[in-house]
Amino acid sequence: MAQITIHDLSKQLGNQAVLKGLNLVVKDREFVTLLGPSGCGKTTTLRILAGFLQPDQGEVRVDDRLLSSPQTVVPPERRRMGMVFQNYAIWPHLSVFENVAFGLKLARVNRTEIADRVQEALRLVGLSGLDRRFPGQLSGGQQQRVALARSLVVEPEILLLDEPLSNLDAKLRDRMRVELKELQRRTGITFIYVTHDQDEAMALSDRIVLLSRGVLQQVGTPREIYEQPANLFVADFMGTVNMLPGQVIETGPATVRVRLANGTVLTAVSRAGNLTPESQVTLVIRPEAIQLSTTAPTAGENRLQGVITEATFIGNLMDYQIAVDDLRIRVQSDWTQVFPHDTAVYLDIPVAACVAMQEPPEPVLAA
Amino acid sequence: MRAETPFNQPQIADESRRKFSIEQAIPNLVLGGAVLFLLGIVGYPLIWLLLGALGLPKTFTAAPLLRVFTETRNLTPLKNSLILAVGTSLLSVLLGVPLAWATARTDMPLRRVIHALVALAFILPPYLTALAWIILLGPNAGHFNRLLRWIFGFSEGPLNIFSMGGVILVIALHVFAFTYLLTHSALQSLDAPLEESAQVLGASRATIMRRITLPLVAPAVTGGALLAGVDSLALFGPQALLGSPAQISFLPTRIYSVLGSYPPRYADASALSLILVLLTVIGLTIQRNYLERQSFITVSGRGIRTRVVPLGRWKWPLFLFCALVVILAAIAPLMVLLLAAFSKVWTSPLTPDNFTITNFHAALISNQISTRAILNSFKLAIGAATLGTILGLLIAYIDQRTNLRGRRVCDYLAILPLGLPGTVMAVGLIQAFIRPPIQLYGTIWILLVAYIARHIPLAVRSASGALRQIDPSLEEAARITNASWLQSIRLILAPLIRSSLVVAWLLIFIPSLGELSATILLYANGSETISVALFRLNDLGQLEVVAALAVFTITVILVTSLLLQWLTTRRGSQITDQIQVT
Amino acid sequence: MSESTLSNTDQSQRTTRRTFLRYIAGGTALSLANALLVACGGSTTPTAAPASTTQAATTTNSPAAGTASAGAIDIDKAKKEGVVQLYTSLDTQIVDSVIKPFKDKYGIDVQYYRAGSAQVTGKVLQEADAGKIQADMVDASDVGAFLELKRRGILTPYQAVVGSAMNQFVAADLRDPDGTWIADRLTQVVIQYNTDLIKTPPQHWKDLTDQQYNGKLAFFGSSAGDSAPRLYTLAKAFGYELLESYAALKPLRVDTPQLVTQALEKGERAATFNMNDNIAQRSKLQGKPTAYLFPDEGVPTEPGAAGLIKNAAHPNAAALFFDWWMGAEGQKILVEGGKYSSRTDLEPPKENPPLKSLKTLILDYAEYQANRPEILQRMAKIFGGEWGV
Repeated sequence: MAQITIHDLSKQLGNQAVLKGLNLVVKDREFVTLLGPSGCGKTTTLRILAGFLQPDQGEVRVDDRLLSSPQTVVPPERRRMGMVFQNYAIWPHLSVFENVAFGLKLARVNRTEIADRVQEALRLVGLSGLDRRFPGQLSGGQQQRVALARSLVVEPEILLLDEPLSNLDAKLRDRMRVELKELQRRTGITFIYVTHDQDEAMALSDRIVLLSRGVLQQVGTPREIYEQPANLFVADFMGTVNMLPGQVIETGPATVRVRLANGTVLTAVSRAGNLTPESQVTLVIRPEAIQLSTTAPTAGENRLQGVITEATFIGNLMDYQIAVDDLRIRVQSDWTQVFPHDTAVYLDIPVAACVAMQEPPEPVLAA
Repeated sequence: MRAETPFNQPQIADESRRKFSIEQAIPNLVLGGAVLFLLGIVGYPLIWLLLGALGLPKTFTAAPLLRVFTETRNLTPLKNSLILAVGTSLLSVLLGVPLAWATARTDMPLRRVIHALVALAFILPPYLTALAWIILLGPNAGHFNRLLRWIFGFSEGPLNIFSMGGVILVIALHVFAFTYLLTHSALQSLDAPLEESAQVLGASRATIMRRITLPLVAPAVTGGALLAGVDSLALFGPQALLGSPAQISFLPTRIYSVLGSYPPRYADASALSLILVLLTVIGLTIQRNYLERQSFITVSGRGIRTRVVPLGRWKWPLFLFCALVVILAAIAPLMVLLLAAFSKVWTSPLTPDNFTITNFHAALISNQISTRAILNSFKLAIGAATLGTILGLLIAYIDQRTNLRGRRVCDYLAILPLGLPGTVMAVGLIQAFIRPPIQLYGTIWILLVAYIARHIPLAVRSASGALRQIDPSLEEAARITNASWLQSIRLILAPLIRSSLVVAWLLIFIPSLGELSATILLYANGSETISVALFRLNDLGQLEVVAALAVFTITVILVTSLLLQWLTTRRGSQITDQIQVT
Repeated sequence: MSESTLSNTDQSQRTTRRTFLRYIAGGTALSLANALLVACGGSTTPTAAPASTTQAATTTNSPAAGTASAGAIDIDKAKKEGVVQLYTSLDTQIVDSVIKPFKDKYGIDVQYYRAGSAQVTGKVLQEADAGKIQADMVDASDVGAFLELKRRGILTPYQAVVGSAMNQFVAADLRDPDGTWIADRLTQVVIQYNTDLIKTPPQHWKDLTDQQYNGKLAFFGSSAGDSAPRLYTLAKAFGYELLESYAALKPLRVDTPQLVTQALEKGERAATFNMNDNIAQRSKLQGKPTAYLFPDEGVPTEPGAAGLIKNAAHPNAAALFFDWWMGAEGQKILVEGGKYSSRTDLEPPKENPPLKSLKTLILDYAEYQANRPEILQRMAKIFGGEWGV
């Protein structure tokens, strides 16, 4: 068992509060990604988890062990964690074998067992036969694998990964994603993964923890976060969105009616708590949720009319820029449905995909 | 992002096993210990130097400081020290700049040999060259004087090494290496197009030299000359050996006299020391400003193409000048000591009848003081180098790997001894450690402290440079992979910066082996060092034994320096970097 | 010397001073302590008394002669201590030859710190400030320094541990009535010159003031002021003008008598006016081109003294060595090394005249000690350079 409980964690570096009251529970064997732009506090959180930083407030527990608090820091070597660094941090003066065997030697594992376990770890990451090489003789991807093998061989309960794929080229990155995911399933280790790349986070994670300026924005499965962003920041960060400012004119039990700048009134799902008429809101609409047609749709509450100003074929889909009066709306549709330039189209926006949010984004605390 | 070593960390609450909490405290203990040690060996003696100058602890008065400026016996050494510094600065330019130009920018023959011999002149302990110069230029019996009289038929003299001019000459032949090295590297980093563009515009070679080259290297020349002057202030050995016979005293010899007789007058010694520090600090500050101005030289890293000036018919005259300088600075003193070391009677020529190796037997085996001194010097140099390297590493580590408050102060304190002549440091150390709570005076430990304190800047600089190149994540990776803090340093950090640590070690070892100016004030019965033995044996007129011991010491210093040179060039860095801070 | 200096000194110094005064025969206006008074004339000499007791002493004591009282010292403890730390201003070649038979006999090592007299004293005083004196025994040719050491309570009376047997061989004015120090040697200050460079040897102190010696003189004078007592003796006897005349000839100044001899031997300088007799003798015996002389008008005599340090680390070994040092055997080695012994029962060094044929000039050390700062400043003014003031 390795359940991580983070309670009310805060940290200040210099004069800047980089983490403010983070609460999070990571379940055993879960793959959780800390996601956010640089300076959001994700790396700080990871370094507190690793024991390199001491929190100013709050605590970190694994199961019942208190690992970090302002009074206490269990040193890194006693946390039963592994860590993969952004720059791999492979020791250049040690061979691949010695790099991987390092932790086992310090744990006084006997020699034959070290040899076996190192070979097993190297096999696991696909580096069998390279054990005598020195880091200088390895490619970036191979170094990455050495770093993985090194942290896995000591059989940690938790593996911390700090943007491990950011230094790899795109193709290798895709392959490593798959391998990492498999690795996690096979080993049953709890993974805490830090990245600023939302695609990577979506591809890998059981759950994503989205941070901004030291504040937790949302926790959820990739789908939840994508489909039901808790606030404007989340919506914006998780892929492309249309953001249309407007004013509430009517509130219902689950929906609100919002008048846009051009006078059009749309019905939207409300994510903000207590909206009243006259509230300024932003409608958030994913480009792929909008249906295009040249004929007027028969059903649907939210209907707009516009002209295609730009149509781009980008492989698996079509990307349109559509002018609706003064508004610019982006729509992505199936690549089989192609409308030429200057086509007049109808836009059908499902109410469920049209979300009304309010600025500033209020922090949503994890359940 | 900078790692934060848990400092001032409270005790463990949850897993409160004792072994664990001790382990937890190790970084604090080690790093805290290093800070305390540094404060103890540099800060504490400095405080006593200041207190001492005010007459404390006996009285509290500004009289000692006033006496420095009101009494002739203090003003004369002050004046002499200033003359010495200015004189050696100027002479170092006259000697160093032509040599630097010749070896850096011309097609003169044997440039690399000349370069190496300048380095040799720099590592020879100056009190040994001073001894050699007494043999060479003693006003009546000196070899050179006899030669000159024989050639020109003077009735006496003509040159007297026991004079202000003699002191300036001998010291300048040592410190001109500063001017030489700084100018040399400035000339080497001068990109050829700067000069060639002037040539294209029709400037003559002399004009280029005067209008382009010289102004561009002027900051380096001035900086080097200032360093030379500052260093000359501190060189007790040649000042005592050559100045005292002519009744010329300088601040260090004055301090030695004030403390050496009875009763020792700490207040006066402290006040004089403060003046010496003041002169040094002024010199170093101006020097730093000049070196900063040097930045307008186009230091574009690699790929600099320097222009080689063909000398034509000036090739041999320039070569003769350069050869003369290095002969005077290095070869002649070495030869004289070598000859004396193998002579039964050093005043006679080294004929087969006069040849002997018993001097070495005396110096290395049979002479009580000499053998004890060799043992002590090696113990001290090895001890100081080892502890100093560790301390330097820890201070650099605190600066670069922790958020410890006050780490800047720590860093500053570790660089401070650069501005403290050995004599001054000794005056502070005596007063600090002659009384409780830490009484080290009269033991060999005070010498160890002195050597570490004097040379700690070299170690910190070496270690800092190395640490800057090692990403902290390498140590963190070790920590998270089961390594304790100490193991992460021992197994990962130390091996990775090993060559820098070896360089730091040698940079402390070499000067410690021959340290004189602090030692002469601090040594006691049983803690004589090689430098003291050389001084004392010379007092007793046993010059042959002195020469043998000198030859032995120089050999050790040479071998270790070559090792250092080899290590630093292998690392691709310049030995001049290190020399700048010595 | 004035009465004011007397009133400034404390009790012990006053006593010492009186002892001196008592033996100043003839009482020259300069208060020159002609104390040895083995002077050529037939005046009643204080040394006569000790000399007459010599016979009795040697008969009543054990055959071990000088080391008679060694029996009172615990030799086992001394051997267990194993080592003696000696601070001395004596030439190391002599020190080595005194130590060797002692070490052979008892297996006790003697380690020494050698420097000029003032430096030896300064070192002891600094170590006293540090609360731990390394030395077990101190020897320096500056009785004034011993008065200072005694005043500071650093010395322990040797009589208590070694016995007083040696006292009878040494004139009373050459030892502390309280027994904290005793003279061990009498250095005669001589004129030495290079025989190649000087064709007509100088006879008198004044001869060296001649213009022909301009740039040709050397003298011993360390920065700690080691040679001040002997120069002061000369000044007292012949006036400060003598020193000023020397200074006008731009003499070369070096730290030790050994270096002066070296300068003379190699012809760097022609003559010196404050050489140690033993160093000059050694140079001559070694066949170097030097000679020396004891001027008729008076020879400054510099008593060297020895004492034991209170609460020393090796008290028994030090006592044993002190006894050896002051005993006939040890002192004979000193004489062989060219020193006049303070013991009246020993011969003068080879080639040197008996003391009674010399007109010795001995300093009133209490007076010297009282006025030392002013004297040193005067020397600094005359010669320039550092004098430890």
